[in-house]
Amino acid sequence: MRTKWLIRCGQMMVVALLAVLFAEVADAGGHRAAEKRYFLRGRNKSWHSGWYNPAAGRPVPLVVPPTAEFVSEYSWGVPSSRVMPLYQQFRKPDPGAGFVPGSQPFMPTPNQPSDTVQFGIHAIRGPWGSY
Amino acid sequence: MRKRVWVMAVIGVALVGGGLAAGPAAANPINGGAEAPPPDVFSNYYHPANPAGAYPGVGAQLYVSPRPVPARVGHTWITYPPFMPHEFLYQHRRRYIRPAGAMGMRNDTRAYWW
Repeated sequence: MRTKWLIRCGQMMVVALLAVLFAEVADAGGHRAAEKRYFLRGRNKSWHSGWYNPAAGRPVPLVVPPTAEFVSEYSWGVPSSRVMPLYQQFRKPDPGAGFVPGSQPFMPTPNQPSDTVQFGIHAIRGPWGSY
Repeated sequence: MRKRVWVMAVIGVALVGGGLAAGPAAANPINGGAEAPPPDVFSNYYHPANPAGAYPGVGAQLYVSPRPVPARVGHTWITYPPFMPHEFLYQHRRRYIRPAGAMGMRNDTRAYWW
């Protein structure tokens, strides 16, 4: 009788511990983890392409909500559309140099654009808050 | 016997409840509306300049001001952060908590964007 009671207690404790662990894991996999993943993946990626916007003379950032996860790009041919992950986000600290030279100059939008990327307007997610 | 099982069930539920309640206490302030440090009103939002392949990289800033200047140079700042346009891009809420007065009072302001 007493052994059965101990086994029952042990089972319940295991269930409770598993529930707590699951709750913690669910919390750890929430907002913060997604933010960290996006931050790490977008760390060394550029927010623009090799084309610039002729009206502005440079690539133009398009601010989108920070809840956005993907951006659609359209083009002629196959594939005619792409859904790309949107890792880039505005952040608080000043990153320093605003220009890093490359080996090739930027290209203007061609007379007959074949891709929406060639317009030189690229999405960046807005910041999460004022901190 | 049955009573003891019930006691253990209550303890188990209390443990699970405690684990669930411990999550929101450490939640992100931008989500849960918990207490957060004072916002930095003297800096802008930026994206660093990473080169795009062989092409040069240019940085981007969200607003035209404020700009990074030395501390003793005249500067601009955000006078009321809740009205910054990027806050209206998504539905959220936040609490701004400040010490008020010399008697340890607190000013608790709740802001909602929806």
